[in-house]
Amino acid sequence: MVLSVLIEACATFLDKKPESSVPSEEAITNLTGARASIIGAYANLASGYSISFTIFPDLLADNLAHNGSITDLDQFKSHNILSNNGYVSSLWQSLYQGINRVNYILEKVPLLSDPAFTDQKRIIAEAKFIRALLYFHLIRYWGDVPLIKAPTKTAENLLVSRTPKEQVYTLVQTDLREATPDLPEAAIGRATQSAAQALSARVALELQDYAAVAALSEAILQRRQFSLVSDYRMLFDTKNTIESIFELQYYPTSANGLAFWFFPTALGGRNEVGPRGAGSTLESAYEPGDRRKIASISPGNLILDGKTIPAGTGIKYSRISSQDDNVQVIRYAEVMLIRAEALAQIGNQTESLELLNQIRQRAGLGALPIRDKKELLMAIEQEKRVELAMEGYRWFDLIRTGRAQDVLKITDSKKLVLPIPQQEILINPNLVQNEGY
Amino acid sequence: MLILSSMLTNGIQAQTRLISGYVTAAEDGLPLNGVSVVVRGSLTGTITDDQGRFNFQAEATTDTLLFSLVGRQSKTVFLGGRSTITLTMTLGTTWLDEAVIIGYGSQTKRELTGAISTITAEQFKDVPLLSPDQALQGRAAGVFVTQNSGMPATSINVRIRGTNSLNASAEPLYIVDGMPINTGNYSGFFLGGQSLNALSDLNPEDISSIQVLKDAATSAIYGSRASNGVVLITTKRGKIGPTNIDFKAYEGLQNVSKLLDRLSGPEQEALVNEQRGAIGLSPRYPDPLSAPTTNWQQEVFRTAPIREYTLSTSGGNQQTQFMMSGTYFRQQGIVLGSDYQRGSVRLNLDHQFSQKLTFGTSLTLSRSLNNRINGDNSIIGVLSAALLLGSHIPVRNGDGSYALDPFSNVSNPVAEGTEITFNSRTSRIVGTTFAEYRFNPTFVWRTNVGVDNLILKEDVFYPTTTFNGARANGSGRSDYRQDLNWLLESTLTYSVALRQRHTLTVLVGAGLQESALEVLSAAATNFPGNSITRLTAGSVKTGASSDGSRWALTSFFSRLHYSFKEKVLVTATLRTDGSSRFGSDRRYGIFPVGSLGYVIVANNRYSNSVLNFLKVRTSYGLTGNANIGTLTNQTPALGLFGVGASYLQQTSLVPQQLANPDLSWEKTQELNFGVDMALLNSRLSLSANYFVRQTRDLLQQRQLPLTSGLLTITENIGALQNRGVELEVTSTNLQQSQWKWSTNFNISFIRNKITKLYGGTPFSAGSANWIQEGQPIGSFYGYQVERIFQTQAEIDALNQVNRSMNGSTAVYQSEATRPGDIKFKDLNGDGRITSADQTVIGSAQPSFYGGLTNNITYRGIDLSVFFQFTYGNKIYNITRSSGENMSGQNGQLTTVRDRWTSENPSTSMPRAVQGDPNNNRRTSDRFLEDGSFLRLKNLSIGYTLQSNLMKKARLRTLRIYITAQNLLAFTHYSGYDPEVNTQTDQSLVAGTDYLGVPQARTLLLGMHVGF
Repeated sequence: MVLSVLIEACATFLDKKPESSVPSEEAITNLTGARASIIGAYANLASGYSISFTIFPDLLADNLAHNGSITDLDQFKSHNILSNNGYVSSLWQSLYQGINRVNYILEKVPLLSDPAFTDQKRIIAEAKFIRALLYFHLIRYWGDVPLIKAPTKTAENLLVSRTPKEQVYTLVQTDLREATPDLPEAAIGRATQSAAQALSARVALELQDYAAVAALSEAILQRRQFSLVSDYRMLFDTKNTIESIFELQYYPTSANGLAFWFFPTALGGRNEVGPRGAGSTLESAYEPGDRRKIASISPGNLILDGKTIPAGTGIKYSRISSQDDNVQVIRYAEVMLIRAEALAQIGNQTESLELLNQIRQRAGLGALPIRDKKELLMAIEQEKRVELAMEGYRWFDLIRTGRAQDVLKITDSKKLVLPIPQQEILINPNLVQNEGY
Repeated sequence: MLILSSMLTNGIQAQTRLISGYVTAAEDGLPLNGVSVVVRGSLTGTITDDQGRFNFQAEATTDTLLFSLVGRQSKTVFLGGRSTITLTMTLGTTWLDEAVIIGYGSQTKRELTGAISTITAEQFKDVPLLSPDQALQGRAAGVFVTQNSGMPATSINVRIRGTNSLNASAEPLYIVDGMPINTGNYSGFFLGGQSLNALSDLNPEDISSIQVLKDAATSAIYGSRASNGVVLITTKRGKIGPTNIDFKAYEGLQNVSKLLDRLSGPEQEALVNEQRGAIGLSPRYPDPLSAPTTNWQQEVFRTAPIREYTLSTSGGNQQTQFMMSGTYFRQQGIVLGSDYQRGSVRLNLDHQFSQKLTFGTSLTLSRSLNNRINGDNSIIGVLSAALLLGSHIPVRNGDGSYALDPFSNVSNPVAEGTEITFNSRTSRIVGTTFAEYRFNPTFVWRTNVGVDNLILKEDVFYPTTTFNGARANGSGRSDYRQDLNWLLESTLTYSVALRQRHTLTVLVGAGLQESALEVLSAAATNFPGNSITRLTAGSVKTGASSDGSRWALTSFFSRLHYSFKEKVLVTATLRTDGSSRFGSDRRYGIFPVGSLGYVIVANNRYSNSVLNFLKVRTSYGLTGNANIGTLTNQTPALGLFGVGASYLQQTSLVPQQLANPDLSWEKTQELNFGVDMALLNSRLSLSANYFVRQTRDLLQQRQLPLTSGLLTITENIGALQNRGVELEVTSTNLQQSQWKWSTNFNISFIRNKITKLYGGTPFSAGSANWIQEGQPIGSFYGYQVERIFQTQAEIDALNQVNRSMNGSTAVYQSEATRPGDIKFKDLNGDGRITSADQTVIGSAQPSFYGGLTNNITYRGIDLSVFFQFTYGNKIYNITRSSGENMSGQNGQLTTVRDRWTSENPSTSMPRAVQGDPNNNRRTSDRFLEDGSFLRLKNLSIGYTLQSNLMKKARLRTLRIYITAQNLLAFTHYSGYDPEVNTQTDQSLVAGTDYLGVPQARTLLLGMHVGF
């Protein structure tokens, strides 16, 4: 009797609850939980774009040099990436972390029924949009990747194998198609119908479905919601311009490291990457008179916040003090350029060139004369390089067009995909390493 | 418990009789005061008064009394019907009769059936110690202590009988006067790999002895927290007698004993030009010869003072004994910007209210202020920046601002050391209060209430003159952490001796312990200048958070000790612990142990014989380790969603950890064989142990496939083994009236092996460590250097072979491999270098380690020489890996002067090339070094004023001494200090030197006056 009371008391005494977490099964059981969870998925994207998603495609290509001390990044520059490279591992981890977050939402949120939950469909659509974006990154970096559509709830059955990328593309396309109607037409920092269509167009371009690219971009053009800002620099000085389609939002309290990585130590940065240095030819890629050059790379006499930015510093992300530069994941200029590329491919050179010249005109450059298809495609590639430099495009464009080996002088074609992280291969025998690693 | 005790009060009404007597000193016949007189096998007894007299009521059946006094040989007296005893006691104790504190009691070494090492205050009295764990170093067999950094109050690794855990803590349980105290790192700031050490709040001057409970026989009474061993710290208490007042002081200076040789400014600039030239870039520095040279090491190392003052008083009468002390300690670090000071007071009181009721308290309060600096394992530390920045950069620019390397992201070391504020203030109260009631001579009830309240307040401020502060116009953060840990324990002891043959002691007890942590944190940026550093001045508040966690433990424990004629010794212990940390189905664990001892020889009386004492003993038992979770997550068994990063200034909820309802303790089964012997009139004593420890159900953060979206799950997986031999020898080499010479020696041979991992899958840890079945913890994994390529033809030939094996574009190592680059070994013979060509290249585990102390006294002069050694361990030297990379802007060591060039076809140092395209710097045996060392840890010479002079000066004692610490080290290690490790919080990371701060060489002058 006494003993049982004692044991009972002990059991209560030993019941200690966590103070800043909730049990998993209670997390997404109401609308506030669902709303907080989709914020978690966006936070994952914001974290991915805070360095790696934004910088790596330019670093792997010829738009950024590695000037800092992180040796793992030298491997990116020399295309001699070892499978234990820490940045490869964290890139992979970040993408699948986001996928798990949205998979949780896609499993739990449809089960809720609360009349007050007016944004239920929107949250599901946003989760699908984010999942598509994350998988699109995965396929382009690694090729075939494990396709996971359910949240991780136990430590069992986690030894997945790689799914042919065609199947992953199918999910990406389905997610985007299903997401589009349920997304709002406009929103700051969150997915919209235009964002989903633009991403669909980007995916279709990758799959060389030029008709689809043309149709999707047409839909965005028709909406007349977006236009080019007149001053290119405004894109980086001002947040959420008329050109912005999907822009990740950062604040001093949830900052990113972009300006920190680009800026010299004397200004509080770490000088890790920059458009000037070994392995980058970006500065010479601008045509004479291109206004985008001094808006993207400091000419040496630029003063921001009372501090002179040394010549050669990348300045698209320049809020070194508050570190809250937004990242434009999709902007209208990209939609115009991928539309131009698709139109060139399907033979509509006139409209293609017109789009291209609009971009050039804004940059202070003259219109290009009509050329043949091949020349036009090369002109679009060049225009995209300088227009979207340091915004996370160049590597993927060169891979897509099959020109990466040529332009970047990579002799081993196996180095066009990243290695699957070594630790992942060790833990999961079902994962087969990419050839050449 | 209470019910049980009340039953016993009405229990046995024994017949008693009065026993009295008189005790004198053998040498001069003067009465002896304070001699403890106890009925053997019970707790009944008394203490002699200042006339040497004693009397007390004992059970009628009492037949044997035990007399003991510090500094005298204990005596056992058989009454045989007598009720008055007259006794003389001779000087000196025999080793066998020293009392050894064990959990919830004490025993003599004669009776002990387990493995315990004892360290007394006498052994470390001349040594400047900041924290009690430092006293363990080199002084106890089986105890491996690594002072990982030379920075004051940083954490120290203590491994008792090897590393016993992978992911849970491998540190022992520390108990101060019965209170299991908070240990570890409470700091909320990452300042490099070195963290704060909560033990540094305890003043080593207050310690009377430290007992290290090493095997299951001795530690299992602490059940679920015992498998890493238990360290019992007993503080000084007052004794009956005149009041003593003691003043102790020392003052000393510390400096660094070695500097690394680095390239001059001109050499550094020429090297960078050469690197760039190797990949076709233009020279960065047009005129290297004109470059200045800064000796960065001299800029950040300094001669720093260390000092301590202690005033204490102790004494007491028959009823009340007291000990009071106050200590001020200050140690500046040998690296710029580091300064630690602590003030502490202690009051220990004992009061005998009546023959039956005794109560007492141990209470200490301490306050410390630690001005910390960024440490190692971080490129922005003071010393790390000094090592990473090239010599060609001056300390300051022409305009007085701190100079930086425009091509590097390393901060200015002097700015790091002087501009940033990292203040850690601790306020600590550790106290226990006990009451002891003797119902009758055989039954004693004792209750102990303990509190450990740790408050840590940390303030950080980066002014605009620093790297971090510049971009945010000043940046600050404040953290407040409080851990209130309380304990309530009750024990009941029954002791009985029957017919002079059987003695039986039974202990039963129960306890509750709870710990409650509170965390508050706030941060701000954009300060109006650098003069107001409090957050209130920061205009942008960048953070505010509050968190907390609780854990609790409930325990029942018992011990039975039986001895037959002091020849056959049997001990059995059982403890049951319930822990809040585990899955609801697995909360309770049972930890039994049994031990046996047999005294083969015990002929103290025939002191001429060679062998005076010989005991063999063995024990086998189970202990546990429950030390997992983080400070703020004490619920590792639950499936949780946590608060993630915010977006759009809204809070997020994200999957945090997977549930594991089966989560339970780590279980250690330990078998111990030991032998204790005394030889040559007990002048040589020896204690040896052989042990095998099998630990299973290791609490591990099992790495999940990253595709799961989570990183790890806490599970009971894997097993490891530690086995070894420990030997402790104490010898009195010379014992004459004027000359005395004694030696203490200990050596340990411990082998660690991981026997099981999840799925047998090895994994990496830290920078170069590797966890693999069949290998010890602390193994290193990497490539093996074969040689340096001397010609392009060699490289082309290997590439050709690989192309024929692996396809048209494949190369052996890298497309950019050129003569002067390293050829790594193709271990799997597939014609190319891939990750599969890595292997275990060494281990941080020593083959053996130990310590040797010699104490020599001649009249009033004493000399103590303490050596510490370790042999066979390897160090992965990242300091050198960055100092020999020849690929970027990092400051380089002079060893790179021998680099490969076409004119200097070096076979040991590769070429200089920007970006290191061949990855010559990859983790390989190139940077693995022998970490063996023999160190003259301590050398002290003292002089004690002779007694006749002291009487004139009316002093009880006066001693002055000089101590030199870390005076000499014999080692092949090329870095600063072979006693190094970069990340102290992780057992998996061992033997890695990442720009670590070396230990200081200290010279001090001390004195002790007693009134």
